[in-house]
Amino acid sequence: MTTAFLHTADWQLGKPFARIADPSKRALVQQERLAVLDRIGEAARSGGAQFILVAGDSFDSPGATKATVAAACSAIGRMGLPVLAIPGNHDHGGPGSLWEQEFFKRECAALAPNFRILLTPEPVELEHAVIFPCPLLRRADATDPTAWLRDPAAAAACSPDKPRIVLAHGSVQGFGSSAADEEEEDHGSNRIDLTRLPEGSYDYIALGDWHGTKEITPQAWYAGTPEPDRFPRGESNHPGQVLRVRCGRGTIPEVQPLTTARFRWHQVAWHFTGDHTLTGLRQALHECLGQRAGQDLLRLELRGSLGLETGAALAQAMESWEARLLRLKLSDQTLTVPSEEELAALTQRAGDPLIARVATHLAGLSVGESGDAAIARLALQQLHAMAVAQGS
Amino acid sequence: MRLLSATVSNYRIHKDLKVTFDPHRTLIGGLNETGKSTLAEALHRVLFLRAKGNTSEHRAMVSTLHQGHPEVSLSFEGQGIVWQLTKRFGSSGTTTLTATGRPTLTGEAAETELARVLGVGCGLSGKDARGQWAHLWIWQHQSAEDPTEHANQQKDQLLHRLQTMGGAAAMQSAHDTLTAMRVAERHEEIFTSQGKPKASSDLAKAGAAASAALEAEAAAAARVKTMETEAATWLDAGSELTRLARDLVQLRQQLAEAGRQQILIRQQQEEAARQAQADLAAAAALQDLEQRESVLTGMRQELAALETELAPQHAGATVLSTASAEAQSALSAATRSFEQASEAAQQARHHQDLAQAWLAGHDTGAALERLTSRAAAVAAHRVNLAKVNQELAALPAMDTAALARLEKLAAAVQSATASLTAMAAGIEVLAAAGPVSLAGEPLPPGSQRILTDEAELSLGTDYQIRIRPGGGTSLAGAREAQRLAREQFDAALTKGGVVSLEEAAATAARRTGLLARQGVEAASLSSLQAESLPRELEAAGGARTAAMAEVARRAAAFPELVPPASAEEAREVLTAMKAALAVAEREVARTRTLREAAAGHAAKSAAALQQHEASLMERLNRRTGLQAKLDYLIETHGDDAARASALAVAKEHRQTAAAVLAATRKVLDDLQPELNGRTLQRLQQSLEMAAAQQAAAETRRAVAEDKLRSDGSTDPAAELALARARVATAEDHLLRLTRHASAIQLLHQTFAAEQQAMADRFTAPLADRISGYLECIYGPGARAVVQFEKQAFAGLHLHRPQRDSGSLAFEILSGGTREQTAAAVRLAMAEVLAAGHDGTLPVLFDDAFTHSDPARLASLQNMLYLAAERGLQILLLTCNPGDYAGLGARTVTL
Repeated sequence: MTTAFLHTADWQLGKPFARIADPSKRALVQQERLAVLDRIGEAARSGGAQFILVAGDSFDSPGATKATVAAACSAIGRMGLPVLAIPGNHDHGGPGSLWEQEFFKRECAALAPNFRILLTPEPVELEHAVIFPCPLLRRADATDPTAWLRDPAAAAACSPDKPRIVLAHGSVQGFGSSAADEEEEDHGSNRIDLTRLPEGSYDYIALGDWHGTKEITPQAWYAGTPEPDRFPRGESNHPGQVLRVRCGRGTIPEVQPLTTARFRWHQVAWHFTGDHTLTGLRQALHECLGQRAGQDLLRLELRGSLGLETGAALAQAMESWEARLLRLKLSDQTLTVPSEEELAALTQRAGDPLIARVATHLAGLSVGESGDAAIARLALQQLHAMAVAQGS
Repeated sequence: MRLLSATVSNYRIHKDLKVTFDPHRTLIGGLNETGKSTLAEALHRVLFLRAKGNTSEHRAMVSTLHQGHPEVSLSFEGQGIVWQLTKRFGSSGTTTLTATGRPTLTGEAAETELARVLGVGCGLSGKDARGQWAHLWIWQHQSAEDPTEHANQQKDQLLHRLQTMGGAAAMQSAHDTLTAMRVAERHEEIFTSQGKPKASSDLAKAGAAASAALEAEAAAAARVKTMETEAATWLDAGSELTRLARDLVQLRQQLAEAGRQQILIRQQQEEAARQAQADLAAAAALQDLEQRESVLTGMRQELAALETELAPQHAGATVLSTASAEAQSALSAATRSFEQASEAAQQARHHQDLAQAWLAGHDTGAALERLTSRAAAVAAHRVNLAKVNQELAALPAMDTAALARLEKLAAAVQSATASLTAMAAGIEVLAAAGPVSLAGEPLPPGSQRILTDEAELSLGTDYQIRIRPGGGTSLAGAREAQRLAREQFDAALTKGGVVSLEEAAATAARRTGLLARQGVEAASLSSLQAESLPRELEAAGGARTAAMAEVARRAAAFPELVPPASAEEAREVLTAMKAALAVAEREVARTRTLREAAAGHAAKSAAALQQHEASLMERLNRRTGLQAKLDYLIETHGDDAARASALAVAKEHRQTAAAVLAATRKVLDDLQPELNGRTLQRLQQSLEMAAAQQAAAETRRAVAEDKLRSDGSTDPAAELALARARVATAEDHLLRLTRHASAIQLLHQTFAAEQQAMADRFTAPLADRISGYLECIYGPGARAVVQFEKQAFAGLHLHRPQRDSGSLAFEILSGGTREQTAAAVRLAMAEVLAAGHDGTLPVLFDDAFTHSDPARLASLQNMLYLAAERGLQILLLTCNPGDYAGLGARTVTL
């Protein structure tokens, strides 16, 4: 007997994206995490999936708001297929969790009768498969949630010909979401040791927690988050996908990644080597963003140095980029120092001896990497703006 | 510009004063009110005050001493030309300005040319003119004022000169000023004058926002923490409930087992209680029998002992009775002896009293006789005293004092008469051919008269001569004095009742003798105490009567006794009676002691007998009682054999009951009832405690569950993330604004520092010159600082390295130091400005160093000399020209 299903994880619905300062942009990014559920449903249905497995972290926190819960149930209900999920470290079970809240149970029954949250580590036998859920009932648990599967008796009572699918959430061989980005605090480590599972006992292990799609073994995969929620963490990281899986008892599963992401998360590092290199940055960003607005997020790291006027031009350009982007995460280490001409325009003013003396003094202070030198450079910028740019 | 000479006419005190000035140093001396300050004013007015006018300045210069308009002529060098300037001041004033080779200028043309040469405004009058060259004209009483005020009046020229002297590069441009203002405005937008961020600034707002964001983050974190804590509480409570459920099952099982054990123990305890009661009854019966036997035995022993004690007590009672009777007999004998002795003593006491009465009778009689004879003597003295008093009364009232006064008056008469006689004229008719009469009284030849008054002397009918005694009016006075003395003397004789001084002396001697006798008689009466004598006589009579009555009363009791014939005999009888009484009283004492000893012995004997008899009676009664009780017990409980049998039976019953009880108690001990009781109690308490813990844990879990039940309006984790993001944003914003503010602050500070540096550089030539002058007074290193800020000179400070007082503001310097420092600044300004006036300018000091001490005056001369050497023309007006002898100046004395 074989079965086809869609493996997904880490929806993290209700994620606040607090670092996006603009509330409307923040709402767009939050909304997209719900919108992707429709794309997942479509992928499942079009691929002939019999059910959808969510390997944890459906919600970003165990205290998701009613609005988020209602929207999620509505989206899940629209998927039109059985959806089975376990709680992850973000939306762990246990006392006070949303899974225990009356409102969730009511909304789930009303909007998503196809949704089933698996809160106990015991086999769930479906028509074409047996699911072995490993739910997390607290944020961090020193116990391996798959430990109960090491007992051969765990699957003893199950149909012998149905494919056996493990549904787990945690870190395998260093892959996990701990200390993911600046928005998240450490949600703890939930280690999973797949090597201790009985050989050949399980046909597919649907993993969650790592936000990029990742094959651990031919039978064990991280689906990754269907809509990216952080800047890329490396070339091998492929977020924004779900996995279409077909497997049978005792066979190697067929796994096919499908892209579901809409928003693009970019990372650009740029080193200024002269005022003319601002043009290069403009081109590089144009290649990333094109003419789009409201669809991209950018982490921009700037180094090097610019003259005062070019520095002002960069600041102006930055205003445009910040407006177009859903988020501009800027790490600006650029030194804005006057060019020789600019410095001469300040220090060699025979008619304005006071300005010249002040500029000369500040120029002396602005040398070096110290905090005082940075302040002196800022002071020079201000002086330039007041004495040169504004004129008399 | 240099003053050469001046002529001042009709100018207040000055009629026509001509002064020629030294090119370098002129010392103008003069006493007060010699016109020094007037000269200084005249020199100033001719240079700067328009001649034509009627201002207060014009009116003030008019002389009340001299006719004519005030006029001042001044010869001076200016612009390389020697000028002759003459001004006649008043409403129709005139000005004339001439120079060799130039046309003579008058009126407005002259005023205009003069102003040009001096480099001042044209046509000044009144107040404006008075303020000109205030830095060069140091008026009296104004020498200690801050000279920077005057520097500002000459600011334009000073700035021009300072720029020419190298400060041009240090002048900030208009754009400099504008930019500095922009920076200052930015700085002021952000910071207060104390350099702290303004509350209204973006920086302060960003700081407040960052703080608020941090607080919100803390609150959000607390909410999340609370949720986590409650979740942990819920889990802990669940774990505890599981453990408690397990514990409760075990505890209930243990409690049931202990309960069963307790039932068995209770049964054994009831059996043991019953057996113990039976054992107690048997023991009580046995104890009763044994106690009764013990009582019987005791009673028999006590009876035997009493019998033994009674025999000697009977014998003792007889002995004690005999002794008591003997003691009572001895007491009776002693009492009789005492009574006899007491009676004899009483008799002796009466005898003594009688002897005493006899003696008193004799003594009172003798006293009465003495008083009677004293009364006779008093009567004789009183007769003598009366006689003397009669004689004294018959004498004239002339005593020693009156006699002395009379003698004094007689001497006065004698003296007055002698004076009169000495002044009077004496007439003695030696021979007369015809009748001679004086004041109508004929004077025969040979007669003499003393004339004390004017009188006519007739010599026959042909001659009538008026004779006036010498002495003039004194004669009449002497005559009057003599008459008065005589009258007083005669009055005193009359008052004294005598006719002559001799009689007065005899009378006074007689009076003195009588007074002496009177004193003797009075003294005799006093010594005899005549006043108290009647009372003493009366008292002595009474005493005598009483003594004789006492004798009669006491003698009646002893008719056998013969009364003594005299007082001496009475005393001897009294002495004998006292001796007899003493013997009798000693006998009374002795017999009393014996009687008391006998009484004590008799009392003791009687008490011993009574005590012994009571003891004997008590024992006899006890023996009777005991015997009755013993007989009753034997009659009631049987004889000795019957009682012994009953006792043996009771002992056997007791032993049986004790053995049964011991066996039951052994079983009970094996069951450990106390331990089981504690076990039951412990288990019961444990169950209660576990139940309470269970209830508490259920409550905790319910409370935690309730708190964890979300209302779904917010997501605490999302709220915390948002709060943290807001903190990061706020802190980023704050950091950016802080860096911006720091940059503005740095810019502002740099501008201020550079402006100061430029100002210092600008004023350096002036400061250098000031310092050169100050070093003359205060030594090397002395310097003054003048700041040029906001287009004005200000902030004059004096620094003297020899003193560790630092830099001192001009205002707080002493009066003398202010004079000297101000002079140095004025000289320096003059030196700087002199370059525009052919290298020289006059500097006039009018009594400008009145607060400076002599040592400083010497140093001052160095400073003034240096100024002259540097080209200035020093004019020094002083009322003490000697103080400036070392200046090397031309001296003009007014």
